[in-house]
Amino acid sequence: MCPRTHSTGPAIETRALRRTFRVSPRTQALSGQSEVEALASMDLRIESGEIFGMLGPNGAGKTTCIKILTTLLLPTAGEARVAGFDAVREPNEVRRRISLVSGGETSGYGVLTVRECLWMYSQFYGVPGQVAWPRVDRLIEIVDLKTEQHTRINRLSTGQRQRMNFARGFVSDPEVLFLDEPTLGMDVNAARTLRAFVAEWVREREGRTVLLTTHYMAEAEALCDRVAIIDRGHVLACDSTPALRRRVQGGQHVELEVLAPNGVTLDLTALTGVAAAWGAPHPERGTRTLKFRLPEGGALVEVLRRLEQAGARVDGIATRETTLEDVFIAVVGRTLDDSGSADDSRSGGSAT
Amino acid sequence: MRAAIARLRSAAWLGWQIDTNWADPFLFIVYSLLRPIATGLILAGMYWAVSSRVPARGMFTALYLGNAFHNFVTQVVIGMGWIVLEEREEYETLKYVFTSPLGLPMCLAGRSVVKLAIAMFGVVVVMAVGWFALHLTWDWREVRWPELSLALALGVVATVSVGFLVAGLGLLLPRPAIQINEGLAVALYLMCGVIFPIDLLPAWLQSIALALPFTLWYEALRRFLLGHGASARISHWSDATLLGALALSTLAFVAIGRLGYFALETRARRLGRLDQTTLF
Ligand SMILES: Nc1ncnc2c1ncn2[C@@H]1O[C@H](COP(=O)(O)OP(=O)(O)OP(=O)(O)O)[C@@H](O)[C@H]1O
Ligand SMILES: [Mg+2]
Repeated sequence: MCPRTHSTGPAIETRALRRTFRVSPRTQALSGQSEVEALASMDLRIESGEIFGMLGPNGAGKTTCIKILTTLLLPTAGEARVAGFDAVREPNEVRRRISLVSGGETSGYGVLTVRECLWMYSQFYGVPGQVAWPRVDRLIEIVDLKTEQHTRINRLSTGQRQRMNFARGFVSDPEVLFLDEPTLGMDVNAARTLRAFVAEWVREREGRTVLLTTHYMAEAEALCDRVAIIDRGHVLACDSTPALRRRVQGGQHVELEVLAPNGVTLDLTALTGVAAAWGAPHPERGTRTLKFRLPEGGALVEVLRRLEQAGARVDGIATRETTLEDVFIAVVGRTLDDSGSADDSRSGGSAT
Repeated sequence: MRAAIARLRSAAWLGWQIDTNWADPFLFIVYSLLRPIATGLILAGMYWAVSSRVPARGMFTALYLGNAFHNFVTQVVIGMGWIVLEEREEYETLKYVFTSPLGLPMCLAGRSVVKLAIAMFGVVVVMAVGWFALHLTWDWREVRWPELSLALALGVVATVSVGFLVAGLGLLLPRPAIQINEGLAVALYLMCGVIFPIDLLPAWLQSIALALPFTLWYEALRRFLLGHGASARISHWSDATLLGALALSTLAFVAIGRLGYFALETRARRLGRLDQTTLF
């Protein structure tokens, strides 16, 4: 194994990192733009020993950022450093110290067994055999593939392949680990176990850093020391979860389940201090969740009155503590779970 | 250093596991043996069909030999193009190989070693079929071993170098990669004097053919093993000229392969094509 860099500098650092993509002619005809800006000008500093979360809707630029840091993609401008090395000019130094897991992927050499595949990856990193085998066996236990360890990868279920892919990220015991939506598509139990393992893995070793992207608020909240909320290539907020929560404290978080007939619009922008966003629709009940924060002494009655005027009916009401999701709504202006239909759920709360 | 060797060995091991995929030995045999044997037999059929007018048995042996050695091109050069496709599209492992210290070039190198071995095995079997079934023989006492070994070594280096170029193209152009691989296989088959001497090509194509290491390689192998080549144009060259030209062409393609591969890889990295899956 390569010697660790015991530099005091940050594990990951980006300065004015920018990346644009040229778009296809068809997209260009629709949007009128010749390129899409995946990363605008990203400044990040992640210290060694941190579990750092990147939270953002689809297309925010999370994967693009990870690809640049893992040397898969070149930036358009700016600087990206990992473990003290430049990801553009010193990719080989970076590659010795990192590992990448993309969730939701079923990658792996179908002709190999789970154990063979993990061992082989450890050899890609030059891990000596007497270290590699025990590590591979331990990881197989952690991802719960002990009974499948001698099974060929092409006979594994999707979830099992994803778990193997997760284990692969750890076989080299990397200094900096990139987890791009690692628990995507996993069952609840598996996700919980693996989250706990990531936390333990960082705690047990000195100088290990994890950069994690996720769509699961709970995952970010449970796991990350700090979280960056990003949207359209910009870092909108970056702090520890308690500090982020304090930003939107005061007032009440209210969730209404609303039965809104089609064509009904609702404008809440006029109400001072109300930042509202539509959550996921519940097609089975024909309702949608309207999430908003009321300022101190807020105007819940006013909101309800407007809803009634708009011809919508309130089916349920709940208030609760501030979560990371509230921060997200306050900062990005929409919820994360419906970012696919982002454009009809912008802040201000107008629904059709 | 030890770690680097371990890495290279793991890539070769991976190549062995994938390319010899013994779970399906039938496919393995078809792919690595039957195809070169079949093309050899088709070649034989063609020549016997016209043999009333072309009684040159020596010429046929020379072409059969070139056809046998062309197995290196189909297995290794085109094979290295397929490795990229396979890693990216089928196994979806390309980005993990790329971001590991092994790196893609070393992975390609390690896996090409296995492909070279399989290709060599195919060549030996095809030649044995020619010798015993078609009575395409030569005098072992006349074989010029030093020159033959040198030519063989140069050819192997050229093969891997061109393979890197094809792999680089596969990285940059994910979508047309299959057509590129297939097209190149056919183009090289027709261009390099495999089934007919390059003298039959139009003059401008002959010039291109003469710049390709494979054309010179097959001619050198024929000359040092059989005592004569297939191309009248090249047979005027002295041994030194032929070996010199082969060395020069090989050297040029080592440089082109290396520079070209890294240029194509960098371009693919710039355009974000390394982990694009497009086919399956
Ligand atoms: N190779 C590419 N060519 C063109 N556009 C691209 C390419 N890769 C990414 N983009 C664009 O860049 C933007 C950011 O994409 P990116 O994959 O980084 O988002 P993300 O935050 O990871 O989203 P998700 O949560 O959906 O994974 C998107 O608008 C996307 O369409
Ligand atoms: Mg992503």
